[in-house]
Amino acid sequence: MRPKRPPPSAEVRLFDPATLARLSRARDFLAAHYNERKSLETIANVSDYSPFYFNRLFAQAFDETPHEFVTRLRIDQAKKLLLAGNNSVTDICFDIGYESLGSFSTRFQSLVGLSPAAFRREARRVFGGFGPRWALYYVPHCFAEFFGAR
Amino acid sequence: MIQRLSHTTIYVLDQDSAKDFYVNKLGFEARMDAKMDNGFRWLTVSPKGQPDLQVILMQVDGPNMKPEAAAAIRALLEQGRLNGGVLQTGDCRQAYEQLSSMGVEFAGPPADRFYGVEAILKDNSGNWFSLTEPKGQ
Repeated sequence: MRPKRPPPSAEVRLFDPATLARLSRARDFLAAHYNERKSLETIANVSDYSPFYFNRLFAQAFDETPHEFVTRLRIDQAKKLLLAGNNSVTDICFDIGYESLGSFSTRFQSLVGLSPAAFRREARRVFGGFGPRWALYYVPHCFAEFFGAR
Repeated sequence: MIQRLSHTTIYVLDQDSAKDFYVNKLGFEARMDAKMDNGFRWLTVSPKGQPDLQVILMQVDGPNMKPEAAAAIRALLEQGRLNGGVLQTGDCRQAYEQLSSMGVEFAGPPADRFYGVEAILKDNSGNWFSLTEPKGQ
């Protein structure tokens, strides 16, 4: 899969349920194999579209390319693993499907704003360690305050 | 200037059944499901076409919610007085057939409006949504 810039929102289209179901089939496949290397051809085959056409339709339907979608899932999973456990950054990098620590760290930094190690340090400082409190990272402060979750 | 909406709240009667409804019937993506020390459950879903918008499925009678406030929201849901928003589809009639066959409740069949084709559906907590196929799609 080649990285591609997201389409401008004007290009996002609404699709009929049958087309959306075909695209969703491939999207679900990709989600189930997010930490494996899959070619665009393999993923497109799940929806019975040609790779180029699939890539275009996918971005129009879901507002992100297949590559951006799988990157989002990987980085989300990396954040959870960094927040909830003590596995090394290197282990997490390979667990979520990256083959190079450099690529993972660069991508993480660009999307999260901190390196993986700095993100973990900051979360530990703010939330007082790991365990069940890791999920507070995802809850806006006002909600956590209102519902007494802090 | 405010540019985007990232989170919005829908009150639900039961988070487990709401999650099942939004994910398995409406086709949303489950985003976050985590329980805090005090029992507060942060449950969010997104329409698959809007990954940067999370819909918070908030338990009506969650922690720190006063019983009278929870009762008031529950009553509004039961009376069908809460509107969740507008959902968009590329083919309202096809979506209506598909969702109806899955047991989703509609106020009636799709109707032509000046802005497109619309049907009104209800989630399994009682929130109403417009399901709209905008003109020009």
